[in-house]
Amino acid sequence: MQSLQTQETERLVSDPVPGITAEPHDDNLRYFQVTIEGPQQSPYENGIFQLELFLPDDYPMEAPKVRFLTKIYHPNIDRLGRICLDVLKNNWSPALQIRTVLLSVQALLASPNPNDPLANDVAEEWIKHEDTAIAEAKQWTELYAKPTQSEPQPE
Amino acid sequence: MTQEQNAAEKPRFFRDEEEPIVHLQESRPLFVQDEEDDEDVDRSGDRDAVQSSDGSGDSRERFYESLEDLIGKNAISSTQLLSMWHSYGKVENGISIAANEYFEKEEALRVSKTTHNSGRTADVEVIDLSDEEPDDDLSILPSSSEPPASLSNKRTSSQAGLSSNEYSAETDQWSRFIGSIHAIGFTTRPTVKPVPVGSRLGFKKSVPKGVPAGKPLQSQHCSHLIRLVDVAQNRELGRMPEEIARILYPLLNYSDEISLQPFLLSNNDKRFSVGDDIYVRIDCYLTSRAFGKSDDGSVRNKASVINHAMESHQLHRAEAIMALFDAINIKAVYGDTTYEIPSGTQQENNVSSSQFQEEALNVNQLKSFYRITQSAESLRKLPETTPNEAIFKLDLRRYQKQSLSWMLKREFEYEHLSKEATEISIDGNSMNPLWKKFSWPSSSKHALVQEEEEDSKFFYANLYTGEFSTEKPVIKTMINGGILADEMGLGKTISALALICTADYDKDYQKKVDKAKNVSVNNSSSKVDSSRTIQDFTQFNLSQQKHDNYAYKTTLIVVPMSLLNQWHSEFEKANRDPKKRCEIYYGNNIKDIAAYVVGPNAPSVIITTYGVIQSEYSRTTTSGVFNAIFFRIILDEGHTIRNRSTRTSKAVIAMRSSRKWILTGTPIINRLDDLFSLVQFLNLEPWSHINYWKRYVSIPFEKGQYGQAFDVINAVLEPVLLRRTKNMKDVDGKPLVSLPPKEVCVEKLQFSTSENRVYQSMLKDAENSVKEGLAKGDLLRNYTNILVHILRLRQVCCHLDLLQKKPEDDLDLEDLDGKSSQNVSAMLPARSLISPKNSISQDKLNTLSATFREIHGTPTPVNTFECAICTTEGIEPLSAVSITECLHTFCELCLTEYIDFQQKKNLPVNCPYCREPISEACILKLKEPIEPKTGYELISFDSHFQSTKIKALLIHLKQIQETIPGEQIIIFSQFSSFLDILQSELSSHLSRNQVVIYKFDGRLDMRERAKILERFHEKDLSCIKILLLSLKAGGVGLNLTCASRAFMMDPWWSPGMEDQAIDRIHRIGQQKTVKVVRFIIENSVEEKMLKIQEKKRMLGDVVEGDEAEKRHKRIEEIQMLFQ
Repeated sequence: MQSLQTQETERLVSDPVPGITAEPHDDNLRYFQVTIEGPQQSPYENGIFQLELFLPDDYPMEAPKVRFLTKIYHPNIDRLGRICLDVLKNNWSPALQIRTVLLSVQALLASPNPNDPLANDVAEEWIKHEDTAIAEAKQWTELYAKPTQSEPQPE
Repeated sequence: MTQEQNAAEKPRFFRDEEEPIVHLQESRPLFVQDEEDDEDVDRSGDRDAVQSSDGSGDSRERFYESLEDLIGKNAISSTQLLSMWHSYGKVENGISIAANEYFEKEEALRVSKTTHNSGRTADVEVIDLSDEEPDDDLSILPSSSEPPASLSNKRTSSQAGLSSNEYSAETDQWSRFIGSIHAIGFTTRPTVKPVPVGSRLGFKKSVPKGVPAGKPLQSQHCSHLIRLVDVAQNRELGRMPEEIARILYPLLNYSDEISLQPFLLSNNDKRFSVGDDIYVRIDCYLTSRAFGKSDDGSVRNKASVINHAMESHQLHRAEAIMALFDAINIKAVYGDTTYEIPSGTQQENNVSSSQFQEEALNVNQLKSFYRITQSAESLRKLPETTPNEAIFKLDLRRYQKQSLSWMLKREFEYEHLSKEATEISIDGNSMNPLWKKFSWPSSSKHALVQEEEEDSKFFYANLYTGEFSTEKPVIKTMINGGILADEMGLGKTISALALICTADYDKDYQKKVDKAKNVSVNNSSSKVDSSRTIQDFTQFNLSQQKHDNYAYKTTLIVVPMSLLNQWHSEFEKANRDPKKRCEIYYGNNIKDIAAYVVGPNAPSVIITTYGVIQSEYSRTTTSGVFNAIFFRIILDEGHTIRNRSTRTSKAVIAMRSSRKWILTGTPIINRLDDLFSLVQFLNLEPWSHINYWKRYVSIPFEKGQYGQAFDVINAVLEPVLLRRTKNMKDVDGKPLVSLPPKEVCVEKLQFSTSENRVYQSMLKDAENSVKEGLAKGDLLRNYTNILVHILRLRQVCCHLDLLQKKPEDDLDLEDLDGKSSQNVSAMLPARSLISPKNSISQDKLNTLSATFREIHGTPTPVNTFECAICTTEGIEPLSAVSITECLHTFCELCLTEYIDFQQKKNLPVNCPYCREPISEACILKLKEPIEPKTGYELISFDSHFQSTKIKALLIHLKQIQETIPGEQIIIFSQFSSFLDILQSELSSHLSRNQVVIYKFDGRLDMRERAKILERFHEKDLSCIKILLLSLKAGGVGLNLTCASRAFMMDPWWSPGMEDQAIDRIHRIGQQKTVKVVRFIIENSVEEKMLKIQEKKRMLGDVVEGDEAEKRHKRIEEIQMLFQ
């Protein structure tokens, strides 16, 4: 529903969630450029991650499509930036919104779930040697998600 | 030969007053003998002998030549010549006297003889000198110098020879060359010596055994039936090739009307042996007998209806003539250009190869018949009449002024009004299009141009009946009235009102009445126009005899019920003359209508409905409309009577009036025969006889001779029908009407899961029964069953609730009897399919209501219910609030859409808010009205009855509500039960203070209709107004230009019907762009109906031919539906 989407977009811009920005693309109002700040006390702290979000035609009956553009070392996010998150899949509900989806993504950064992995190698590492994995994630954040970096570096 | 000689073709040459021409001729001998004389050894010898014995030299020779030229060379013996010379040689006008005497004798002889070509025609081959200067006396050419190639020139001369020879003083007989056929025959008999070139041959018909003479042969071969005969020897020479023989053979039956004159073209200087080729030229002549005594086609046509035996004879004759015209390649002249004559044989050949194209083409023909022949002409030619401002308030458009002129002219009122002498001729110029104009072959043209009148350059032939005429066959219609068939939206009503206001009573009759009074009161008044008395008086006598009940002041307008009030108010708007009154006759509001309209207080206009006419027709009263003869009857939406077997149609046709008009935008709805009722109403003799109509329209059309059928219709209607379309340009090249654009878009929707479930199950049933029907071949016997199936499927597309209603308002099933309506209910899907069991008990409802009250507290004036899906706060209206079992609130649309989506994807249906499993059967609603004391109460809601279309419609309506305040919207459906549902659903889903909904369908009585339309018309910026309109009740006539948006909820079989409906808003007076949305369910019967519509549109409205074809089409349609 067009009006719903406009309504949401307006709210996203006027009343942003702390640590999250989402801006619709000029040419395509269904396409959003998103940034999420790495949550504190997580390996991603101080990182700013670029994402893209696309609202399918059936939105809000169907979940939005979200993908990381910035390289990230996370058991639930694969090399292509795809995210394994229940609300984006089976647990989607039309009562959820863009902002709630993005909050869920931010929460996923805070608490990785290696038991339901998408990036198998990362998950394995995360289970076997959690410390090395966290260090690796920090290093990646340092490398790819530095706020000074103007250009996002996709895979 | 000179022009004067050519004049001999005309009978008048031989009349006394034409003598100077003969005299001139006599003094200028321009003629010589040709080579034929050399062959005629005996006769030359005779003449030589006579000449020498007499010895009076040149003058006598000249006399012979002149005379022979008049009457034919071989026709007269030398002794006769001599005696004539003695009697008349020295007299001044001797030649003509001699000729006269000769022909008188000849006539007597001829009567005793059998009609035999070779016996009576004697040809003269004379050099045609028509190109020479007339005063060039001495240009006598030797016969040998005549070039062989000049055969064509000889036609005139031979023709002259023929004509003079065949001339009969009694019957003014003549014949005229129309063309020749060149053919190569073959000899069957050897000849002893070469037959001379140019020899006159003849045809001899041999009748095969067992076949009665005069009947056309069905057998393939004709060539053995027709023999080429050497006239001089009177022996058979050979035969003609089959293709020529086929043309010639039937013509021999009509040798007194069409004479065929074969000549030998070449003999190769040899005698013929069996099997040699014979080169023959066959000159064809029309004799005056073909033109008959009466040149008035219509009179003869009428007679032919009565005599059927003669009819078939006539048909064969027509076919034979058509074939001949084809063979000699004579082209009809149309205006300045020639065009192919319609040939029956050609058409038949084409049909098999491209039947479809043929049909489509001819549909176009019909269209062009409407658009070009008629109307464009009228825009140029017709003068404009502006009605008197003192009596008529409205301004007419230019074309309306033209139609006023035309209508007045048709009523023979125009002359009364027109101050200028400019005559507009309506009848005069329109040639009966059954007839074609032909020019006599040009070889004789030189001669004709100067001396002859224009007319005689041409002759006219009716190739359908084989009739000929020298005079232009003009259609004369004596009826007062006609058909105003302007396209919808061009203001036919106003045009008709202008006519009524301008000629509101029978002035002639009034004069008679006045005069009658005068006579009885002995010249007490001087009103009477003395110049008209005689004519008036006779007319008066006539009318008085039968018109005791003549309502000469009253025009009766018959309209569909929905238009009754519209007409009345239009009249009030247009009329300025307080003396003119308009009254509605409906529901017995006038006791004795017959007495009323004849009485002194008769209103100028009475408006009534077809229904009233029909019901009075059934009764026998002395006070009804049938007991008066009206001054004028106008049928609005005249196609109402198109089916002549209906009571309405019979009733309307039985009404009497001195002037009759039909207004219709669609004179043809389905088939050509639709026109017949109109023709019958207008009493257009002779076409109003059904036999005549069938013979010339229905049967040719069924046979696939579309051209002929259309020609006839054109002929019938041209003088009495005026049609202009919106696209036409006026004299200045401006379009007649410029309407704002019209956007019609089809919105394809998908079934919800529950709808689809029901639909698929019903589709399966329907398919099975169609398959069964097709397999057994009795598809159409079960036609009603199948219609019911289809109807059910269409209903599912609209709303599942419709299945529980009786299909009383469906047009397809109107005539179903009680038995089949039982089938209708039997065909419903299992009830469980439609309505799954509601799983919420009343106890549970009570508990839930209590909890709900705890959560939401006491009702507040502004509700705070939020939809978790669209995040709307304060869902409007309250009835749209849908509550799950877990007591979360949603908009109804959002929730049902969600449930559908999940079901379609086979995903679990959980509450979007708390993920508790929910069921569509367990959706709750707030009970309304909310009692402040008890607070919120929940009731269960069968959400699966929500129709996809209504949902889609609601989305549109909400959008309009937000963006265009005060908009007026029309929603069409053909199911009035669907309109009921729409009414309740829309009013429950749209906030009440912003939307007003009106419903207009066939169940309303007249007063209610008027009221509703009046209210709908009032503009109110504070709310949107919705008119639910039944396609059947409101599809025609209504003027709803106040609205510019329309929604068509369901498709109708015929696209024309939908166009009509759309034209309710897209017509004169519309200011805005018209937007129409047509809702169609994807992959359903509706989508297929669209295809059928497209097909119909492509074919035009005239697709159906005969009964068999219709059945075939129906089966096709049904098959298409179930593909």
